[in-house]
Amino acid sequence: MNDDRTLALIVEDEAPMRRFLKATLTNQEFRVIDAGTAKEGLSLFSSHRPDIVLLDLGLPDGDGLDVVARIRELSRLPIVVISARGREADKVNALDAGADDYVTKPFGTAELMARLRVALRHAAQARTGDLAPQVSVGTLTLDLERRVVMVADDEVHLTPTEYKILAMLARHLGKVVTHAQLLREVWGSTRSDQAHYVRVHMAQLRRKIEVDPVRPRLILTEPGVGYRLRET
Amino acid sequence: MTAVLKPAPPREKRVLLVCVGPSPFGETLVRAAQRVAEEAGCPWIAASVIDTVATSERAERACEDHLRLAESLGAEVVRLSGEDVARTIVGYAEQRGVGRIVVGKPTTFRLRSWLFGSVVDELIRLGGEVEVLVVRGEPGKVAAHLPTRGALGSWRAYLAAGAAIAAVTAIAMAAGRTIGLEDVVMLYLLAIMLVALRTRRGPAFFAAALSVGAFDFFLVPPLYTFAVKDVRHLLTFVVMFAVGLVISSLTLRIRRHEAAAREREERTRLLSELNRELGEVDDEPGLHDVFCRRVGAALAAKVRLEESRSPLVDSPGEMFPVAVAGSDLGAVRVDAHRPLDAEQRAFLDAACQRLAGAIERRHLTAEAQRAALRVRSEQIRSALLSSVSHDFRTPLATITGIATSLRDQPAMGADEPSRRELLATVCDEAERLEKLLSSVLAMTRLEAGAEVHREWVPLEEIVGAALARFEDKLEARAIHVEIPEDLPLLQLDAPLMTQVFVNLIENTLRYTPDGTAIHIAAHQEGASIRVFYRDAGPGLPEEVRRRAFEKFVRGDAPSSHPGMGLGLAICRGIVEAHGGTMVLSTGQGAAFELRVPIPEGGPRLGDAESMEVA
Repeated sequence: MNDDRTLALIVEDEAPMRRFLKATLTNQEFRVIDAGTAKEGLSLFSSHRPDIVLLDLGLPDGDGLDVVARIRELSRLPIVVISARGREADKVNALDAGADDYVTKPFGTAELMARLRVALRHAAQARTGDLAPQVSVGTLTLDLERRVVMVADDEVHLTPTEYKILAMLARHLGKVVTHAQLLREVWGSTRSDQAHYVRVHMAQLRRKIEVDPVRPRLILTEPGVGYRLRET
Repeated sequence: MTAVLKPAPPREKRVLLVCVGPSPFGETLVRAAQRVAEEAGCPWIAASVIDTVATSERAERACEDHLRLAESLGAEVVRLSGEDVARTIVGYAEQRGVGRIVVGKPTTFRLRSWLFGSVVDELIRLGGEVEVLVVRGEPGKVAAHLPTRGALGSWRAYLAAGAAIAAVTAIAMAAGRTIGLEDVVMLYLLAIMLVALRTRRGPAFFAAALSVGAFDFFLVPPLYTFAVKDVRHLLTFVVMFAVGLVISSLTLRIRRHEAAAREREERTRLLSELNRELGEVDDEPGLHDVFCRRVGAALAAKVRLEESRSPLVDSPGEMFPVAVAGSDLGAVRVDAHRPLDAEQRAFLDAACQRLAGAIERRHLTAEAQRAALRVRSEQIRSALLSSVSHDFRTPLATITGIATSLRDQPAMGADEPSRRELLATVCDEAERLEKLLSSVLAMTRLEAGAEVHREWVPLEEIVGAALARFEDKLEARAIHVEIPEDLPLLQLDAPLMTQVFVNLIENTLRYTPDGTAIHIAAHQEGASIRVFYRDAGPGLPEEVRRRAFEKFVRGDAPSSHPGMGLGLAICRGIVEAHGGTMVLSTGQGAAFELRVPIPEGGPRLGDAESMEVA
């Protein structure tokens, strides 16, 4: 029997958390395989070729980053890492190593599922090369072909930089984008002394498209990590 | 270096020392010493003592020959310098842990030794626990008495002596009968003493002899002859000569002692200055530096310190081993024009003690600071633990209660609305726990002294992120945020700074009724940004206001509202870790003012144009 449900690999050493994840994903129409150690996880990855990996960074027998890197050597499949509060550097490193997104413990089901689905969707789009020409979030509409940005029927004029930022976030709709990634893709720079460019332009961008720039509802801040264009 | 010396080895294996002098007997002595050392199976040292002032070059060379012989026979060779042979030898022996001293005793009679005690007697007297082995000299081998250097003095001194005596003679002759012969004797003695005060032994003795001669020839009848008519005058001559000798000897000795005392005083002064300067330096390399400089200046030598792990082989100069607790020092190397004498050694020893003291002091201070830090850490930890356990238990109790009820009493969760409500409470309590945990983590990071990781962040991003953490809880409230558009960016640890506002908002939610507004405003003032947080609630009670930022202070009785007294303390800790300040502000409700310094050369929000992509 060909089961075309999405296969998820869970790598988590804490048994109660593993049970919860397994139950939740199964309930959400996923097929689930799970492992308790990095070694087991990598072995299951090779043998079963899952569609998505949910990986805890705090594994007892290995560095989560290592696992991400090893998986990335072989596949572009979506990886979502589980991290803890206060460990922003871990998250950024994981994203740099190739992870797609993260959830922070403690997290709720809704947040988890949202991250997984977004990651899967982007992976699928990458495979088919299919990019939505139009992105709609709340009152914001972004036409990537014609380069037009509308907020509640009013056209908004963005500078080239602001547009590039928004476009990149839109291409990663729902996924987190790190400051470094933005700097690299929009400015082509990896210089840490230019890191503030992103923040300065982000503030301007928010003033133009958010109702309340201080309390953004479209582009969310992930402190210490980056930004995320929320999908409604 | 008794204070810092390594402990002496057991007596049997202790070193043997042979005292070598210039006499030809020295060769026999050296060989005898070698035999003894071989029998005992112990290492041996051959030492010569040179009085740098008095020993002649010939004597030095003779000693040197003997030392070379000893070296070829396997001895360690040491050249000491000092005025008093016995004292110098004993001093060195103590330093090296010498168990036995071998010395030679000439069989020929020497007046000086008979009068003042020989070197051997002195050694025995001063030696203490050290054995003294005396090797008898071979009969017939005369110990050549070599003149001491410098005792002869320059020809000018003799001239001066002669002139002095001539002057006295002339005065006496001119005075004729008015001065009696006894008084003339006194005048001569005075002249001899003056000569002794200003010159050396040679001219002084010459003055003594000359004065007798002049006295006899010019003043004692029969005049202008050396004949003596009155036998009493002979006695006068003898006594005059003897007294002249004694006076000049004493005067010379006084001069020498005075010079030595002055040198000692000078060294004491140098030591106290060394001490003072050592006290002003904090780090070990600095202490070494001060030591080498000061001691080098005092000894007129190049002084170096070496570590026991890396000895400087082939370096010039004498090496003195040291052992200092808590340091890697192994030896002091002194490169001077000539070997150090006993006084200089004593000075070096005292200086090393000072250095050792300074190094130890440094270690102890650092240790004490560490200990104090550990104690404080422990105190904080235990206080934290008790607070944590109380404040975590309450929400956990609620969660456990609801979860077990739903599990054991199906009727409770039967209808959807009540089930949702119960579960919503569980989620709320869990969120509360999460924020507490986040707070505690931030605090432990701060207490551990972790470096704040900074990046350029606009304040509004921090405030926005904090507000977002509360999602719909803030729905019912009016939130006013006033942050100017062109506010400079700050160098902040974003997650930590966000925690500050999270804590403030959490307090507002906890202590004010629903719907109470929140105001956040900021503006630049000089080199910092002033941020105001205010809620429109009842504000902090009077008794809490004073101690608001102390840990574990709560606005209410513990049972009514859960939550730690750490919240505000953490806020302030985070702000201060960024170099800023946080205080209570005046006004209605709970009001706080934060001040955060703006780093120089930072970007502003209005700088966007310059950063446009090309």
